[in-house]
Amino acid sequence: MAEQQKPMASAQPEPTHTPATGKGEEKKKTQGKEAGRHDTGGTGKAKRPTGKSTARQYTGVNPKEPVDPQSPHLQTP
Amino acid sequence: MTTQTTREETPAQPPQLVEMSWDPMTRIVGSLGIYTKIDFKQRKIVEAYSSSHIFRGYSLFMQGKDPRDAHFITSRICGICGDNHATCSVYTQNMAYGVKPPALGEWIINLGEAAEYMFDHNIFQENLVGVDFCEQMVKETNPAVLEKANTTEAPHAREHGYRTIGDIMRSLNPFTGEFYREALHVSRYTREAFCLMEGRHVHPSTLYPGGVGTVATVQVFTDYLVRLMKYVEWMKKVVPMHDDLFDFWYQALPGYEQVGYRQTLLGCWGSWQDPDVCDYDYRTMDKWGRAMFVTPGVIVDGELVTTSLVDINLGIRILLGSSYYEDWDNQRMFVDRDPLGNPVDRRHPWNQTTIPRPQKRDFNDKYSWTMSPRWYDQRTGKYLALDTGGGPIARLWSTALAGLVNLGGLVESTGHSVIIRLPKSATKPAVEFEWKIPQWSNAIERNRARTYFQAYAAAVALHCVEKALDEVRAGHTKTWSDFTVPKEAIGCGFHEAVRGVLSHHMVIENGKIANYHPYPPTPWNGSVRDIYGTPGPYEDAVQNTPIFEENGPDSFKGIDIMRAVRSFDPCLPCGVHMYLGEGKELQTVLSPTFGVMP
Amino acid sequence: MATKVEDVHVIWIVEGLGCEGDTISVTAATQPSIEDVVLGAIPGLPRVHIHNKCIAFEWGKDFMEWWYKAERGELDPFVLVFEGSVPNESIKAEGYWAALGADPATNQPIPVTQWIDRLAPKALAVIAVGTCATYGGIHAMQGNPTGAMGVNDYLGWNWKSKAGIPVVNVPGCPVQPDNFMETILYLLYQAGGMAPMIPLDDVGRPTWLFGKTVHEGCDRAGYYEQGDFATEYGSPKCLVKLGCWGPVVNCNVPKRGWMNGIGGCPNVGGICIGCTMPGFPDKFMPFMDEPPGAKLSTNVVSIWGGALRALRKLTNDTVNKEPSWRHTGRELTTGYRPSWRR
Repeated sequence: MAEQQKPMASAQPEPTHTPATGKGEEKKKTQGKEAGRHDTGGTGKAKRPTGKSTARQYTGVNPKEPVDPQSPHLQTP
Repeated sequence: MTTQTTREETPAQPPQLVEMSWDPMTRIVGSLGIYTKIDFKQRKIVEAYSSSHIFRGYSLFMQGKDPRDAHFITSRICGICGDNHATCSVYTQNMAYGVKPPALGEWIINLGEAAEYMFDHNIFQENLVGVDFCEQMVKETNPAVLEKANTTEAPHAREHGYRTIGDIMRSLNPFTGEFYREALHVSRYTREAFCLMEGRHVHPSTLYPGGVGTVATVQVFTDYLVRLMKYVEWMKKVVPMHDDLFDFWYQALPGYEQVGYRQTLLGCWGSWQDPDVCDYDYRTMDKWGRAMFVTPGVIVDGELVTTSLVDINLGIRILLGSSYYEDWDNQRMFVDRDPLGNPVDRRHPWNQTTIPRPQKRDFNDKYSWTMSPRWYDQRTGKYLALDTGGGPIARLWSTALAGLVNLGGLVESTGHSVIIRLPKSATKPAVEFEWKIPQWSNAIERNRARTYFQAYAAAVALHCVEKALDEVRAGHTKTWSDFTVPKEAIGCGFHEAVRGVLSHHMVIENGKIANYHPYPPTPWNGSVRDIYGTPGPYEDAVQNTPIFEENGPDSFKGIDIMRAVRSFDPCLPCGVHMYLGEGKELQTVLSPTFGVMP
Repeated sequence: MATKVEDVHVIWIVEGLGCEGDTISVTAATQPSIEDVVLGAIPGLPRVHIHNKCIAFEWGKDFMEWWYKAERGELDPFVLVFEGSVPNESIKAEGYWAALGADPATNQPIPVTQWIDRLAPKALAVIAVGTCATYGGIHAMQGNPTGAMGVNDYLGWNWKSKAGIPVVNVPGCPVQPDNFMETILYLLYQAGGMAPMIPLDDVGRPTWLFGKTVHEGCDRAGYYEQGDFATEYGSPKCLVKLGCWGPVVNCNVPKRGWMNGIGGCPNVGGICIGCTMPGFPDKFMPFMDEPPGAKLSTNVVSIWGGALRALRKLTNDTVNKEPSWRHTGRELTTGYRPSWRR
């Protein structure tokens, strides 16, 4: 019967972080989708997720969409 | 697993054997000392040992930490290829958490890795290895060769602009050589390209499990493309220049094929994911492994034994024998079976427990902190000491034999070679290069492959930029997918660090890291004699290397040994990242240097 | 511009417990580049000779000879640069965690701590490059076996060189390329008598490089102020809810970019993990968690933020319209009273 491995690291001498704050990867679940971004399904055989944005993603002050609906939505840095 | 074969007593040394050591090796990354016994009469290296002097303990201090920190932490294993670790770690985490990045995110990571290959191979080849072939060095070690070089016309002078081989050598002189300086400049704009994709170099800021945080603008890809095209132009000079230099070497020093020569035993774990195929699920790993833009493979004596990442995974064994560790045969197993139900060996990284036993160094017994990773060949029952040849040679060899890769003609595998097609650039027309499988796995061919792979990476990057821009023009902006970290999970990642095979294996228990073992290329290449007596690749390749240097024992530099070792592109922080001690006694004794054996 | 010294040597010990990322990073510097310095392209500088294992021409005994020359006082003046964490060699009876070269008398590897002991007293100045060397960094994480620490922890926080200069700490994981070059350039000018004592803060950092927080230099701070936060990575908005520690970290990377003005961290989508700070990494882990203070401050800002954006929208609407007098027609309505007959 295999021996139980002894824990290698000793108990933390000081707390490294407050666990009560949120996890970055779950913010969308807890705080909702951020304004200006929406998911648009999966692509390819591997069904990789896709998503698009509106102008609201880049600005909270008077977002303006391109006037021609044919124009793609291009991101600003 | 604990029986040790008793090593034969070293036979009595003939009187002209000299012990020599080079510690530290320079123009590599990391701490490495080479210890040899040289027969100056026969002009051969008779014995070689490699040893490293730095211990940090990643596998120890990562235990109990949050798995989402794994790529930030493991990036710091290496200061030149850290992003390779970070990438492999996110591959591992993606598998463990069951998350798939958006295709756009995957293209960004692919472009980052392409930039890393373009940067790293360039700086290593031209500013570190190149010095071994520069005029200053050759004057000090092989003056007759320099004389010959000065009167030998370079066959491709029209493409690279250097009339004689001697002119090439002068241009490689550190700091004063024009090519050396231009290469430094190239190493900067390639890193800028990396920063455009992943924020900063060497430890990326925008890489996360699930994708990237990079904002995918048209600007970011155009800026990358502008730098990429400069590199494409540069390659049209660099490839023929190195072919001329290396071909000259064989002519000027017949027999140089033996320098750094080793039996062809190569491993390649694959580079670049195709987001159309890869879903990070272990159960389909064979399929998406074969869709990678460098095909994974194990090559034994010119035969491609497998291209299956599952087979590759299950065949990894970590052996001991000459390393300062106790065996873990009565420790717990973390993983009994892989997600396909295949049994996982106790000596597999998922099940490894590292128990250090620091002790005096004895070249006849235990002499290093490096373990002995091997690949178990089911066909023969042998534990193969695979090497990566520094990375490019194994990647090109595997891709060539597999016959799978074809990226719109930019790179194409023919079954016996790899064709690389670079488009027209600012002042030069389109070119086609063909890397043919060489006759030998030796120092010169490892170096030649490195130059060709630089061009390969540029061609792959051209493909990825186009794909990324397609996504952007379709209005896609999502570069990251959310996930939840499970309480219990396992994951593995297979990638090619610049220098070769890179795997990460992780076990999560109770939401924390229970076990994490990265295996970069250097533990494979720099491994030591295992319990079956098989030496590691550096040792193997250096031993039986003939001496061409014109200096006698008193002023001997060991340049042929240096060329042999540097051809593997040693990167020792990766070699010793995981070696740890718990405050126990650590004694080592060096062999006497520059002494003549009695 | 005459200098007081003609030649300065740089003895660069790479062999702390590190990854050598700082040396590699410095090869990316452009302001100035390493070859600019070595080839004498910067006016007023003494001749600089850099001895760093990664780029050295020589190897083995020939390379180590520079260390012995420095120890014997034959390389005066020299600057000692240390990279990687300093291990604690006294927590065990024998052996070494990090060593460089071999003692010619005993053939034992020489621990790097011994090299610090031998060379620091003889150096004009000591520069600790990268967070491992300045404060211990990654290898000094909780649970580490080597007892790793920074150069100041080893030499003492009040240590001064024979020229009266404290340890100069240039943190960063890795160090930002131009931050290091600017610092060594300053010291070289100081060595030549052309600059006063280098200004350092209480943890040894050059104040002109580390005197600002990441947030104060981040071009995404406007989103924070407007209460507009990212809830997924890849968004252009403020990343504080996703793990960015920018508001409390001393670093200039978002302001100057990573290299040549390109790249960075939160300014390009990478959460700040505090890698320039003495508390790194432990006080920032797990990195992807929202920093504790962020929850409160973002909630407060969000209350006001929506209102602020709405007010700005009103003003933006107004300034997005031209004044009413720009039009065709017979009437001039600019406010000017024509002096001619219509």
